[in-house]
Amino acid sequence: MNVYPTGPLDPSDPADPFATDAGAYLLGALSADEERAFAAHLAECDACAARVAELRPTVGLLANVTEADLAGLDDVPGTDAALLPSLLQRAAFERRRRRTGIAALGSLAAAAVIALAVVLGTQPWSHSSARQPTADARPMIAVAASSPLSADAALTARRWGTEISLDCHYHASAYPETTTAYQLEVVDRAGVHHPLGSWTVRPSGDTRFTSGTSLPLDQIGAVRIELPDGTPVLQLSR
Amino acid sequence: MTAVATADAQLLRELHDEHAGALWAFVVGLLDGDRGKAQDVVQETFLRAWRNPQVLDQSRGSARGWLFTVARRIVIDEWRSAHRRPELVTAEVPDRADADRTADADRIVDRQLVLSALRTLSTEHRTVLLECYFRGASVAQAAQTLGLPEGTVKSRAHYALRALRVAIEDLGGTA
Repeated sequence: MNVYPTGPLDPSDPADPFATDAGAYLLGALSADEERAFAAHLAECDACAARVAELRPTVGLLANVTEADLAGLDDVPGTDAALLPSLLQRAAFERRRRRTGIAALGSLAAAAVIALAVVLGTQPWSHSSARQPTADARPMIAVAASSPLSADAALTARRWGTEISLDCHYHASAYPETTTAYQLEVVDRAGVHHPLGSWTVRPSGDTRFTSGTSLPLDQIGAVRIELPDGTPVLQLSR
Repeated sequence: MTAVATADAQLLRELHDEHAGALWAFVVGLLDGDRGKAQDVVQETFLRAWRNPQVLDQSRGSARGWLFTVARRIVIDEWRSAHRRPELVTAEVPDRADADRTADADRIVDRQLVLSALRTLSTEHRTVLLECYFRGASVAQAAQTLGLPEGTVKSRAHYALRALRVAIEDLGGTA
């Protein structure tokens, strides 16, 4: 994308020999004589003064980068191959949940519920045995490029630690031959993995799975679903 | 697939193909190379666009500007909530620490915005900025290095800055 703006400040005025000097002036690239002449011209030419004012903040922003940055500009790593498949899967899952009438809240709202639970140091819903509303669940993100499993996870601070509720959907039609056994683990903020248990997903239909850990909510860095051999499938980072 | 599912897939595919590379580079830069977190932020950004497709149809502002702005806000919100976590509280005077952190966040965001904007510039525009700004060359020196008339160096420097300004604004920044 390369834009050549036109308009009143377009420096193409053939009558003004200084019309294209503003850029070089701001970059400090004019010779001492040219700079003096341009500065004097600025006092009497509104168009050039406007060009200088227009470009000055941009030159200021350039101070945030270095020559090495410019040289390495195109050396950015490519996107993850799992990005698009994972996006499509999450969208399909969210669409399906909307159809089944379960409100999908954005992750910020979910984070707010979790934060509230932490701040209060209590269970957000004190009638303890009642099933939690599913609105605080967040979709887990696919780690593998394609997975027949999608899941929402809700983390709730408890007096004894953290309750983890999973709402799993197994896309059986797309992957008829794939394994249906999964295991759950949490990774704490120090990077230590804590296995929590395993379960089997029914080939069609949803599975709700509730587990828990003695780790306090604020010590949990991620919740992860893996295959029995330890290959990560889905993850929720906190 | 149903018609709705097909439309979902198409919208996400188009967003991904057109913007994922630029958005990814921006977010990875903001997160100091953390690809895992970048993946979360980029996914969340695309999903928000998918949930609110009307924002992409607005004639004012580009889709890319909207995506960059949303990604930037997600990252800044994460920084703020990380700052609020009790284990990160330090003995610093809070007001001062907050001010420093806000200044840091602004600086990091500005830097990545400029880098993303520079990526959209032509080689000619990057080269003239390299010579005249980063290497401190005069117009005369740059003209010699690049084998161009001085007038061309001047006008290129001018148009390079204008293109950079427009690119920063297209990405949701202020220049």
